[in-house]
Amino acid sequence: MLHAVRRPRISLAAVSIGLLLIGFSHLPAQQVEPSRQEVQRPQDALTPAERELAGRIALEFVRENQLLTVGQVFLVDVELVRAKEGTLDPAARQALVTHYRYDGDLALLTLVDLAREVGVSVDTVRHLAVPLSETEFENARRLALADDRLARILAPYESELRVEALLTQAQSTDDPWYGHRVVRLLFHVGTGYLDEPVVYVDLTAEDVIIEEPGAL
Amino acid sequence: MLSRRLLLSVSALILVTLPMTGCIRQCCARVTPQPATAAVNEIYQEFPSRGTAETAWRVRWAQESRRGLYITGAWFRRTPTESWIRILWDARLSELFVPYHSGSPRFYDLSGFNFGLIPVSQADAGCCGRLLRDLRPGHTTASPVVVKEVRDRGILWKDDAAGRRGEEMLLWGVLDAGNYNYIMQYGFRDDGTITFRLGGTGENLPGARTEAHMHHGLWRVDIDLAGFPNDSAVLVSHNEPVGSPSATDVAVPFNGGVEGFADWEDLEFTELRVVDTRVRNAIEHKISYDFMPLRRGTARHYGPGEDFTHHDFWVTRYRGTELMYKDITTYVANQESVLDTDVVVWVSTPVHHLPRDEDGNAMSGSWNGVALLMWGGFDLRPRNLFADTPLHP
Repeated sequence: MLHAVRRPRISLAAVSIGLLLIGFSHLPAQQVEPSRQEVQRPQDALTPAERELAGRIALEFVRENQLLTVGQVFLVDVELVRAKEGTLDPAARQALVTHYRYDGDLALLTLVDLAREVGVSVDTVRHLAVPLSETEFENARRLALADDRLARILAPYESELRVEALLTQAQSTDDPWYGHRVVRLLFHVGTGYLDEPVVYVDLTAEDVIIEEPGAL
Repeated sequence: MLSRRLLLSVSALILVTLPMTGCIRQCCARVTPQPATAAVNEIYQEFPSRGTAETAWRVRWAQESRRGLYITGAWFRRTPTESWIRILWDARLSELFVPYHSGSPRFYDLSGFNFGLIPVSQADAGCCGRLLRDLRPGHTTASPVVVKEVRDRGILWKDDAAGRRGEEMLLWGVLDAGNYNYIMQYGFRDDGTITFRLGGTGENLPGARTEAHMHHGLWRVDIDLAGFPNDSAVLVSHNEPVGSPSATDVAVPFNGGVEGFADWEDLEFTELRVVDTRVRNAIEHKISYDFMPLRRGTARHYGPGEDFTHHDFWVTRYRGTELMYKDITTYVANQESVLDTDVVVWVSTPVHHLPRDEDGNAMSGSWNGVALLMWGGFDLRPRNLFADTPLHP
């Protein structure tokens, strides 16, 4: 008895799945570049350990140069000074460390030699807009949220509130904020920002100012 | 033989699937495979992206809070057999100054706080874009923060018989500056041009949604043509006196050959040029690059300490610690020579934001909408880098 030769039946389901797979292969998969061999120390940036070391050396150097007065001083920035070929010992690592001193509205710019672990030089610049440090931001946030007026206004948003900061400078030397460290706080709720309240924190005077919208 | 039922099903699936993809990968410009010897965060791209390579770029990038996305090296190769020519040592946005028209507030959106790049997605990058993470130790990002696009940039040249389309590689990231986000974009073109663009988008300032203001991009470009030193800064201007049928174009040492400033004059088509004093092209012309602003206007601000906005170009002699545009007047005070030395160029690119309804509205009780991208920037275009037309038969 002859057995009928069965041709394999390609099921509709199998074809459908196959075509869908082909189609989805054209979907833009997240095209992330493959990783490369990492190096121990980037040539264009400081490691976290170097940043910490640079901050310590700079603070000590500032102290030695009698630039620490009464009042607050904050570390606000550390940046690698990249050495061009032939300009420095290739093994040298220098960093520019910025502190902000509230007394006198003074930026302290210290050049640090990380290889020798010494300060090289320090410059002072008055009324230079230097970055706000994390600690200063937390101080501003704490001052603001401790204000009863603000606490009442923001209470409904407490669970989803994110506070952000923008550093601002005074518009003239007659401005009472001139020479002060003033932060505009933004209140991010959901997908956007609250129009009210408009809040500034004068960190120098430790004062919270709530303005009417449009008073700017 | 496929049954009619199967044929119909296949057709239906194709009709359903293609719109879902919307991306024909073969239409994308080709990303050059990266050599195994490439440094971390280094990108290599040949042009044309498909076919026989003619020119190429090698670019290193970095990102950090308070600095956003910046370039830490760029080299160009005119032909596949030539050596790389360094063009940039370092190029970055040094500051973003945003003063409001009422006089207050006056923000520094780049360095004011610890603003960094925000994660980007494939939707941001588009079909052909690629997402990059920072892979440097101590700076590694969990998510991609930079987009790399290699793309067609339109017609490059066209004569009566033939033409060619150009290509470019873009690197861009998005700086989160509170209510605003800024696109920081660097373009590396097949003809050796580098484009610098800053785009503002996001929500207008809460509490001052309709108040006009300026987004002042302030760039620091450490250009090292064919290495350093041996670069000279030159100012180029066009002169066509009233009543005269003729015009002249002159190039003079920038600021008399010393550190200082210059202003962009619309009638003069002002350009700042950096010329290499040693390296020449095949017909013995010195290679150089022109800074060509793209601007709709000129901004000046008069708050205390804002004299850094009083001019459009500054040139300093290189010092590694001179990194803050805000302090430029101090840097140029000693008037060191900017001829046949290592120079740094500082460029201002203001964008005036006059709020409009397209920025959004508060009709529903909360703000709804974002300001669409507003671009400012400049091009850094080669002059006499080639001895004849590149990318031309």
